[in-house]
Amino acid sequence: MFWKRQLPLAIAFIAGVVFAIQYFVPHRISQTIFEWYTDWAIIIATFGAILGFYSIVRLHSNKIRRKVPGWFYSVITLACMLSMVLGAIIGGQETGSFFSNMYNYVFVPISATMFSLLGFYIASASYRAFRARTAKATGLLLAAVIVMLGRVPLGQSISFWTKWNPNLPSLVDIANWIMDVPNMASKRAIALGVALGMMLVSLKIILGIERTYLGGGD
Amino acid sequence: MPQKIGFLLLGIFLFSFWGCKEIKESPLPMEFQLLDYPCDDGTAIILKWKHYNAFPTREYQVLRGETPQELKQINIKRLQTSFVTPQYDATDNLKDQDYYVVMENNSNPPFLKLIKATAQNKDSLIEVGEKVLFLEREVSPPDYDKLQLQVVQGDYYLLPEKNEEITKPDIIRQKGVLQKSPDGSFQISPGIGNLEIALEKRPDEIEFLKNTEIVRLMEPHIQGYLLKYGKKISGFITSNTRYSMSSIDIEYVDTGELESGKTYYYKLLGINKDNSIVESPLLSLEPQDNHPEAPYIDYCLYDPSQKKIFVSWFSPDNDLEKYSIFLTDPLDSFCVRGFLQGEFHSSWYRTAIPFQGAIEDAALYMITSDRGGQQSTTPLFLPEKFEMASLTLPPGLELVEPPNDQKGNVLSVRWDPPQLYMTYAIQDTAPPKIEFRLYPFEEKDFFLLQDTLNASFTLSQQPAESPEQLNMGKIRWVKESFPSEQENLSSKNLVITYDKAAHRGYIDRVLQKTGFVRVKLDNHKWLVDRNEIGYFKIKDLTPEIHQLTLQWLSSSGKPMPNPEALIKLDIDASIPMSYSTPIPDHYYEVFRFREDEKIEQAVRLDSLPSSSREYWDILDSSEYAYNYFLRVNSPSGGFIDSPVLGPLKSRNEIFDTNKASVFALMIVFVAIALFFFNRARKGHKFYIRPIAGIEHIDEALGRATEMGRPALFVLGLSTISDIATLAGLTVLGHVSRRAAKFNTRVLVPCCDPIVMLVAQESVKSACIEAGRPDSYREEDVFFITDDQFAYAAAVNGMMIRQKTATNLYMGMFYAEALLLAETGTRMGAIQIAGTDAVTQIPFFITTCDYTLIGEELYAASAYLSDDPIQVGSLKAQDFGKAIVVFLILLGIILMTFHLDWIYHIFTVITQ
Repeated sequence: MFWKRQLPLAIAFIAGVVFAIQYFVPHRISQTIFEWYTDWAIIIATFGAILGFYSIVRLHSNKIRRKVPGWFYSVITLACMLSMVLGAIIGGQETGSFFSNMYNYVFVPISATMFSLLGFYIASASYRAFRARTAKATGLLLAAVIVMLGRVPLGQSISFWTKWNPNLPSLVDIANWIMDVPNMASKRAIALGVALGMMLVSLKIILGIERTYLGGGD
Repeated sequence: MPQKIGFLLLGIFLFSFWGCKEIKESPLPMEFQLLDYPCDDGTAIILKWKHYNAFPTREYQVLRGETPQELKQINIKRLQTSFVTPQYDATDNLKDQDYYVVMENNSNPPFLKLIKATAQNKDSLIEVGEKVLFLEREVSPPDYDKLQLQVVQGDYYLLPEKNEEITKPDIIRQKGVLQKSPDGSFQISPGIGNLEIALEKRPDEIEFLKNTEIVRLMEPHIQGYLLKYGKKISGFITSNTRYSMSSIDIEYVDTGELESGKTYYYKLLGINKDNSIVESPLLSLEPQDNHPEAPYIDYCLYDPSQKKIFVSWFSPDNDLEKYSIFLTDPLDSFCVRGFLQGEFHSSWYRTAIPFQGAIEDAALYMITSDRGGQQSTTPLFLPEKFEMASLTLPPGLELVEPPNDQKGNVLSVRWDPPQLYMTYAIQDTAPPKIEFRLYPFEEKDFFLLQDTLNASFTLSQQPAESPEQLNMGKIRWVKESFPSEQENLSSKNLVITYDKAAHRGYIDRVLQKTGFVRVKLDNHKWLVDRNEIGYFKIKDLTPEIHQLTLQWLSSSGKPMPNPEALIKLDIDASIPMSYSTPIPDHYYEVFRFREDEKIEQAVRLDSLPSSSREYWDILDSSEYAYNYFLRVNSPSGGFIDSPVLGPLKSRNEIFDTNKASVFALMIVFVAIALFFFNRARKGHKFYIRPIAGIEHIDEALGRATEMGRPALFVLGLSTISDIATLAGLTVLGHVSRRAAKFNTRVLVPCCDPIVMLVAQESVKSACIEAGRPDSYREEDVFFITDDQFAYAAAVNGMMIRQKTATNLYMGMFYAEALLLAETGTRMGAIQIAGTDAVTQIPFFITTCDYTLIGEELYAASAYLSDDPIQVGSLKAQDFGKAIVVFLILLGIILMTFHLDWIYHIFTVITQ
């Protein structure tokens, strides 16, 4: 119990109080402690990578051994992972090496493909969100149309009323207003709530009220 | 079948890069050479080589080693590549022209000679040369890469084909207006008009254009014509060979951990566009600790009023230790009898020596010493009498130890309050109406002369003296265009920009009081630049003389005391033009020396422009006390040194006063939280409003149970140190407990190994608490990858293959949020999301059935637990929000009445 509960809670309390104070102390020792902590975080993250590697190997080798449906994807995953690791160890990571080529010409384009899917997904999600079934959804649709038009040159071109009176706001001005005033206000309201929530969760962790990070329920 | 496709893909994947390191014999990096870096301590070597643009090399890797066998990469030189798709120009086709290339092999690379075939020489040219099919300029002709590459020397130009336009006049365009003097001459004066001057070509120029070949070798007597009419050719293409002439010189100085007297081996690897590699020959060099070069004396001037000799010098050496200046007599030509006047640190380049005697009897010489103990002496130099420009030290010069620096190792030299430098421009946003006026010059003999020094033109009745100058022919006509006076005057704007950098570096609370700038036009109200963007715009200016006032204020709204902080100007708004206040041309230098050192040992730290007001010196060590002095330099030569400031030692502070407001608010919120924790502990019941997303978790899990499919729980992309991930883990514990009771699998793919470990523990404990330890499967909580889109792809694949009935997203999400949630929607899963990422909340709202917005995610742990203290924390959070709302309202009211102290209370200054 001491090793699994009390010691971690004591460490969390001491570290939490020390780093809360550290933020307000501009002393050299305070900075040294912070840098020391940052170095340790990097070291722990490195060991975490080994755990991740072990998890992947175990998961996929189990799938291959049991011949679960789609087990050949696990073969490809393990083969790719091992070839990248061995490629980097044997051939190095310099430009033109196997590792570098695989990263630049296979991995990066595939990642870019995934990212580019986002454009299509935004279109379908927008279609669902902007269906004007209620007054609120109609308002959302109107705001979205104005912002979309205001972000492209067409918005300025079709703001014909500004030719009658240049003091009237164009679609670009209205779009900027929507983004800068109502949108910004609601974003900041959420951000304020989030900041206070984070602060209280941190306090609960320091005081040992919140123990989820120990991996044992509430 | 799918297995076969899988193995086929794997095979292609593994063998696709077979042989990518093939080494080609040619082309090699050309003229690769090593040179010892001059005037150094033997720790640098220069590498030089030539890169021909035709080479397919995209980068060069520099390898170095102490033996030929142990070469390691030390640098990569990437070459600029064009992202514009090259378009081959049809005029580059020379098939119809009878040109032949002939090589002159008496140089390396050989010289290319281009000869036009005639009836007499054609047979011999076919025998010794090759017919040119294409030429290369900026872009390469099609299929060039199938030809053999030959690097050659040559400087050829492509000239336009003969046409009717040869005799047309040249048009020179120039800003300004044409003015006629009473004596009949013309002048180009500065103004807002545009001039087009038509110049007749000279007879010899027309003769050249009529009779020249379309490809010409650069020769001195036709250089002007080629540069004016020609386009540089970078290569020629024959049926077998690509002859390339265009190249760049590449240089790299290796200064990395070299030792004098040791032999180093170098090799270049050229990485081609197809990833093949070419190698240079292996070269070696032993860098030497060079003898220092005697400094070049810039000037040596004697100012009788100050009774000082000013010496300025320049030295190319980079390993010098000190300069010694000796005063002697003009007959001491061997520089041996001098008296030492001072020894100066190697960062100095000018000094002043007090001198009382007759200047005619004085002479000086300098000795430079490098770190290796080697010395060089300058020849004798004699001072000249000169009245130096008078300079003054800036007021308010002080040395301070700025508070709140993060490591307690900063000292600051700062001087007078800020000074305003501004630029104003009258801009006409409406397109001006243009009027034209034509001046025929056919009857007059006027010539255009170019003033190369000022890049301007003058009209003269005498032709240019040097006949090879171009564009200097007789003027045929001049067309003047200028904006009409009938323009739309209401569209004029006044744009003012001012120098924010004038108070740069003033970052502590005392000096932050330098505040902001305000501007007033005539008797209108002041406009204030509170955000310090350095920019004002006043629209719709009337076309008359306006009085403009610009003033720097302190943060309390009081005008700054120094007169330089106020500018008053009369501006003429009828003419679009711009104007800048003059900036003094003097510059500052800051010197530092330790308490136990002499002033001559001071290190010159930096040169600062006249707009600077502070030098922020970050020290390597805060052990010693330091002295500083400021030198004000005139570009014409003189300088003045401030008295020594200091000694002062930097010190460490215990509390950062810049963050006092944050500290106070933190104490208040912690006190409120403790108060509510205490009340909860005493048994007080708090009401929490229902959160739909949390209440429907059971329903969502029940659906998965009914359908016999697993649930998916995504903890986001962040690490365990993120509060959102911890909140997500709390919800995971609750979900796992319910799922264990229902005997439903929960898949938890993780993108961080530490999060995976905690999640495994959390799910395991939940299963035990639910009385179903057998339902825990370790392989259901697993790591995928820490890459964002690879993770999204894997989770999407899992949703599609395993047909998850319930998807829960709780944690920190980025661009992958929509990829995940939209896929879940398409699969018909019931989805609940919770995140504090403001930018991703809209995506979750549109795609998920329920969404926990921002703080609701943190409230989830309190909501799901039965712990009253957790519920009490929610009340504390609400109370905190009430305080923030009160402060916002108070801020709005106070700022409306210009009481801006509240703004400064909550300003946190970071360094």
